[in-house]
Amino acid sequence: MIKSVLTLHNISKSFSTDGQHIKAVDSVTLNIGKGEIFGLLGPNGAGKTTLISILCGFLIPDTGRAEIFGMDCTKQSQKIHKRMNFASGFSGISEFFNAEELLNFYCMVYNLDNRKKRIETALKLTGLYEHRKRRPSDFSSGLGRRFLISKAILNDPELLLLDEPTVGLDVESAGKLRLLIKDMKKQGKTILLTTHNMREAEELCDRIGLIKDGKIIACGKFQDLKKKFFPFEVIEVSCTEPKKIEKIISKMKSIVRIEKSETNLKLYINGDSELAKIFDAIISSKAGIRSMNMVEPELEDLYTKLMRVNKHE
Amino acid sequence: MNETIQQIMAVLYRNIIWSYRSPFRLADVFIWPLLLLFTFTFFLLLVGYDVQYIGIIVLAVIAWKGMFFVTFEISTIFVEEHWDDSLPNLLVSPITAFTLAMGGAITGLLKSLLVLIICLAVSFLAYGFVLTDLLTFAIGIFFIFLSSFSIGFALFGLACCYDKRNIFTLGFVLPEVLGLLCGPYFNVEQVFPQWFVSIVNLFPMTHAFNVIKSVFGLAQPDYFMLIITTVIWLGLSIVIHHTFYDMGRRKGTLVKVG
Repeated sequence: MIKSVLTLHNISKSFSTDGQHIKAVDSVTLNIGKGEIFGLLGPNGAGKTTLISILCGFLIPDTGRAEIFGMDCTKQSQKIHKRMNFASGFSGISEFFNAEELLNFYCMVYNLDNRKKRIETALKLTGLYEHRKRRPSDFSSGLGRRFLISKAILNDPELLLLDEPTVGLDVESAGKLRLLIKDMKKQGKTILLTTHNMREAEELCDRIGLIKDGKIIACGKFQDLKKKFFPFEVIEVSCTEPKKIEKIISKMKSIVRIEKSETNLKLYINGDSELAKIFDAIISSKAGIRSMNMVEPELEDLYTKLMRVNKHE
Repeated sequence: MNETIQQIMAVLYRNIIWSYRSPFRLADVFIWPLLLLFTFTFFLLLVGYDVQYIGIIVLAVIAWKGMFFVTFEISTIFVEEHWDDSLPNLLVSPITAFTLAMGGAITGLLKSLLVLIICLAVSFLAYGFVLTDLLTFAIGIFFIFLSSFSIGFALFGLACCYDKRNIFTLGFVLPEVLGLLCGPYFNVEQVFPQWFVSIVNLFPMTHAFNVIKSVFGLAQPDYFMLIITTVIWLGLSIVIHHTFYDMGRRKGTLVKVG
């Protein structure tokens, strides 16, 4: 069994603003294992940042218990902070210091030895070594994000909380940052990542949790969630006479639903036992087939579906 | 190195770089204290020069400014990091509120030391003033430091809960106003009505300023009240700090992430 690094037990947190009572996090229970990259996905205001704030010890939950390395985030945050770090895509950087000086300050705060070597390594890993004498507050947003990551890896943390680390970055910078995150996983670090970028989550995360209105509405490996929420195989056929195909296959037992337009047909199939038979039937239908492919749902489809379903509820 | 000491050194390192590169902070040490000193001494020269009165003005300016520096520096790191949106980076580190405050207080003390050197040098060159009873003055300054730490630490707690801009302003105003009310160069009994004297006697700074004035025989220090009020103020500041720090963590006003 994988050792749990981060545990949330029934966490709830509400705020009162302008006479309104808002439940930001509602009975969230979650476990993240050692060496895992966990993606927390959800729309703005879903409760992601509130959860991050509770884990960092910035917020005290109304109910429940948040633990990192088996220690209470509310009462033992100082001990926890020695072994974790955090970088937010929205964080600013203090003025007046160059990159090296600021990292040196954080090395002193963490009481780290070999400061020069650590700073050099962190700056080289994030590709900022040649910018070490520049002030990070003057960096472009891409370099600024990379600088915050270099700050976050200074103490060689076992757990990293990354709050939308690639927000607002160009494709190249975001790609480099994702490579860095993958490298950190290879080093055995546990990472909790919040993002709005579904492709990023699909590429990086071992497991994901979808959060809406403060509740985790789905949690698990993407493949498992896909099976759970998209139980049907989907074949999309582009052809000139979709009616011909529909006529042949509509009697088959495994066909659950058929969506039809003038030149397209989307078939929802329960299980894969009849797949070969269905393909044969389509090919032999002489419906003027232009293309035919199995549709694999992406994380974005899952996200859209769950957010929509939840809204209807 | 011991972790707490290293963290205090980190705050000092940050503040020294910041002070060195910020004209605003340099003016704090090199311009405003001298301006205040000469404002008083020029007037004294007009109404009747006496080196004893020049001396009390010099020491009052040093102590008054020292009080401001210590109070202000304790709460200001927190507020400055907030304005730079960098507070989460700092608070996610193992640094504690106490080490942050101590780093700020020592920064204030170092600034006071610079002001002391500048003011003593200038007053010697301009008016021939020499501080003879350094020990008594040091005792007074030490208690000014402790009482200013109390005010700063309480303000730091309030900044965790309430609008940081307002607390920053309070960090400017409070030490200056309290400094004046506690009689840095005059005896409160000679200036204020009795009911108000009773109130300011509850402030440790009043007694600390009396210690400083006693260098010239201008006041009778009450060491018992000095120690008692200092201890009470320190205790109260710790309670206020922790109460509002926790309240900030409950209300979500400690730090804004994202």
